[in-house]
Amino acid sequence: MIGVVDYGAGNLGSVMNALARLGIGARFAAGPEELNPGSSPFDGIIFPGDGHFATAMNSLEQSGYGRALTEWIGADKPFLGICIGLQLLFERSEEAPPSDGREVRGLSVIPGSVRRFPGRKVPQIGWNQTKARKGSRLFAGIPEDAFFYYIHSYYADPVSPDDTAAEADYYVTYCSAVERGALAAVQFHPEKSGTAGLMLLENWAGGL
Amino acid sequence: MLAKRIIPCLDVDDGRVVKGVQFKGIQDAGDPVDLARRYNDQGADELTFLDIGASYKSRATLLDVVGRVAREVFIPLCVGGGIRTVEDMRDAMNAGADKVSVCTSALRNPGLIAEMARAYGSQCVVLSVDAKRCGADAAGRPVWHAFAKGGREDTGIDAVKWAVQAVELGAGEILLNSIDADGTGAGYDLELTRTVIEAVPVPVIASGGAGSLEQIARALMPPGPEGNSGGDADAALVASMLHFGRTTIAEIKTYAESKGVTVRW
Repeated sequence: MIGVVDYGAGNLGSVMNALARLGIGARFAAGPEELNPGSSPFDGIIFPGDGHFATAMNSLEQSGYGRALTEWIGADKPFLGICIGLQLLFERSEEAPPSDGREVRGLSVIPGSVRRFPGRKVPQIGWNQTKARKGSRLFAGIPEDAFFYYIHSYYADPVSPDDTAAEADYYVTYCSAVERGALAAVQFHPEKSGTAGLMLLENWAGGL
Repeated sequence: MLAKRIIPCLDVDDGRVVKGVQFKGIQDAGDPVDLARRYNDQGADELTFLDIGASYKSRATLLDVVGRVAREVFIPLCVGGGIRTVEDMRDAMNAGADKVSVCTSALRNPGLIAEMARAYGSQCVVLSVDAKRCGADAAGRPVWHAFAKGGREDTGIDAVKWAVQAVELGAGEILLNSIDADGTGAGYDLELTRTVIEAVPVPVIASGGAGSLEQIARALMPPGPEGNSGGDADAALVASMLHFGRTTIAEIKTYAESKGVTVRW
């Protein structure tokens, strides 16, 4: 059973629709207590959604999901972040610059920052070619340079190149997927990326 | 490379896809769920549903259609037509839409764009501009007005300035319809497309007038050295040519690719 974290933003129905289509059992998590690594009813957690970095982090802190997710990921339990679910894994974002000397900290599971695209036409909206690292489990069997659907203004910039599982180009070549142990996250929306997106979700869920 | 998008547009009236010429003279073009499925199989990059029926029942029927499509088609879905409030937007998003488009309601109340962007983010707010040529300025350049109510009412507002203002308010994308070209098959109004693209820093979807593969490719190609070849649009909306079986998405993409346009396969 997959647990989907609903922190109150974005179109989560489409993630559920995609999992249902693949015959993968999933339901929304009832609360952060269901993410206890020792007693969770879930084999893996998906954290999807759009939203503002600061708003999302505030919501995660208030709901208790922030801590629960950090513990889940810290225990190397299967995790898939989508869109803001990738960005929140990092330490900070240019979307939420420090004010009054206070920094909005991300979950800080992966060292690095989230930056704004250095170009005129932002957000990036559309299907972009995605170059996966050789041997990536997430992208196994997916044609090289397949297109995925992106919609975002900020991109992740990890400190270590080892954390990058795939790259795309939009003004810069940037990290569009991370993979580290049981931790995976993608900047694009696999649930809106047609056949390639469904294959990626199946790859992730199949490894549980 | 980011691909240029081909987006079938389904004008839905009381549960049926219809298509008019210059916003008049409506013909039945089929069942929306069947068409959505067919276009997805052909490689559509996104689907746009516009409720052109006037009644509450027509909208409820459309949201039911969107819900059914969202369960089996895994590409972005945009819903427009009669969305007047953030609650209307919420209904559409809950039904399975990924974004909504607004036209008349935003012209009446521009603050709606900001409200919607705050609620869901700019990426979910598409401003639909129905533009018609209305004379020229002192320098002889064409002037387009933004029309409301499905092209029936001239607001007198400059369409290009309206697009700029809407983006400042939070619109994340512009769906640019040429009323002059709509349904004529005589080609997109590329001058309009280029003018808006130069004015706004968000993606622009060209709409209205597609009659040949060449015209669709041209809407997406960059402007030539003489500044008047391609429309440079980020996406092209196509309706009649697809609904009446005159072409397929794959044919459109193959042709556009042969003209140097990046498409997604």
